[in-house]
Amino acid sequence: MIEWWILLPLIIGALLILLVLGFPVAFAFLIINLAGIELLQGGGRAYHQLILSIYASVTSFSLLPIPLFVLMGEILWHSNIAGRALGAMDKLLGRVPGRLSFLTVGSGTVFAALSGSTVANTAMLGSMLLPSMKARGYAHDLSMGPIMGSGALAMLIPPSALAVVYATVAKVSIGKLLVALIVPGLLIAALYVVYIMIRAKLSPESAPAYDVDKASTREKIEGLVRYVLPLSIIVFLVVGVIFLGVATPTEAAALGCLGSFGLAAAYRDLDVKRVILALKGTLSISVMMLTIMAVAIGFSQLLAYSGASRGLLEFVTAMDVSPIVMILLMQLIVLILGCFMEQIAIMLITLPIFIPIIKALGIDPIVFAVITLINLEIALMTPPFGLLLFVLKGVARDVPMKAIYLAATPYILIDVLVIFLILIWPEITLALTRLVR
Amino acid sequence: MTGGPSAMTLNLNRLLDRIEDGLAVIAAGLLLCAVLMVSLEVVARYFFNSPLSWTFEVTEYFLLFIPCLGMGWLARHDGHVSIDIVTGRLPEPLRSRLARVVALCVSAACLFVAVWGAIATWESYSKGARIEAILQTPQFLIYSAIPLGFFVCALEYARKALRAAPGEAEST
Repeated sequence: MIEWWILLPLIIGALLILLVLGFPVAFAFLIINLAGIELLQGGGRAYHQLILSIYASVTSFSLLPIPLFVLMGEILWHSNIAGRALGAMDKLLGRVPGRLSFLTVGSGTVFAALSGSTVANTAMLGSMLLPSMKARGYAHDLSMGPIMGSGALAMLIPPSALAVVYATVAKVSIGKLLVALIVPGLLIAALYVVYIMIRAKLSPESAPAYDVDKASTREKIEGLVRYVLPLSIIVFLVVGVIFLGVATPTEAAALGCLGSFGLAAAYRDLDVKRVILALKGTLSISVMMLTIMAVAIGFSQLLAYSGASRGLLEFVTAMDVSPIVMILLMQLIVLILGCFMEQIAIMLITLPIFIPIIKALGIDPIVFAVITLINLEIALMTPPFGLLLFVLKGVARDVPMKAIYLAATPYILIDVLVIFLILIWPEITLALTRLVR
Repeated sequence: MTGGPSAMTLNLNRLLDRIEDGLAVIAAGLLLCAVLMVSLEVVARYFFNSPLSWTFEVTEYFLLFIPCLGMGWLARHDGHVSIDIVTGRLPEPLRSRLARVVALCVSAACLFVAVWGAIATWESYSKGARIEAILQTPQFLIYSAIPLGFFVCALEYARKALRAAPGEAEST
């Protein structure tokens, strides 16, 4: 058998080459697995094992939230629930400088609590808010920046489909991880607000104030009660039931979907056309994710079989570096991969290697999960290939790419700041998880 | 390649589209079913104190059928995420040639999985193996999603590989 330190770069290198050549992520993993089985396990019956692993890796009740969380986001996106809630929140804000930026972060956070899809969230915020921000002469980092930043919150604040993928690959409790993400998600949103406040104060011309139609208190309250408060039912159906121990995360996801459908129906927003659109969107994202999950679990088995996982683990534990340095190193790898790669692929490449290491070093797996997910959120905004940069480019075609990169920068720095805060005070994320029944 | 595609190719093309669409519709139906079944389960357990134990098992099988049935359809719509850092910058004839080679490799890999999936399905059928759970579902019924899905996906990528590149005689 070849030494693991030769095999590991070979396996990862071959995978990266396939990805760069434009192989779809799922099939790049599949081909590496097939090649690994042929070369390391001698093919034959071992392929039979691959079929069983495809079957075993997706037929898990705990994966069901992936399509369901995406479906929630799609219903929100295709019905007019989001638009109405936004209108009601718009009335609540008075004539403050940077009000549209605040509105973006506020509504982005609320929608993040109803949707598990970052792309849907960002596209929604972008199409609803960017035109009026542009018309009012907002600076890029106060218009496109908060859209990307708070759009990306959808993958942190539960429901979050990516958190479910992470929890499955890393074998941590899905319910706990979802709950652990609440405070860091809200903290990030709060820091975005602080940044916007300071920025709008220091240079008022970057977010010009404008006269708003004064809404009466009655109108404000009515909007709040009719279009914003009902959303909390859905938030309760997802997060509340997990907290109370009434339902598993999967059941919570199903209830959340049912709640979203129900709410859309109550607003008379539900028709066959919209349901079909939502189902179509959900099907593409979930088939894409589940196909990757189905074929890629074999990848971690391949790493284990090649001896790379164990070899690297022994190597790292022998190095005797402090856990904190190790965490930073691992996060640096995630960050670099994040500039070029898609998130599930990053998780599937790194987690099989990282998880044994953090276990051996005694690092809390939930804290590590939260940090990694924030880092993966950053990956959505880092040049040159962050997905959200392109989503936004799609909404704002006349803005040069460089301006979009710059607009994302302050929000990336805030995310990094929160990662450090969690490293210093892990309680930020752990405190709530203790309340879960 | 001169002249248009023959009537047979057109028919085959349409047939594959129909199969893919049909399977995708079933997948979407399963997704909706899962929402209803799991919600029903929660209600049955908490309000009527009578859990429907089978929902758990059935939705797990759905999770294999959804990606398998949707795979080919998604491939046709280029929905399987890929990274176009390098390929997006290649000059045109090279880019579509590379894309064809990639599609051909993916098609071969999917066909390979389909064949092994068929073997596994056939073996569990002839052994009469059942999944050790409440419903005692015959294993081959569930396994059959794998050869079916990967075979349709292999056909789709084969079509992508064979399809004329823009600028060549014919394009679709």
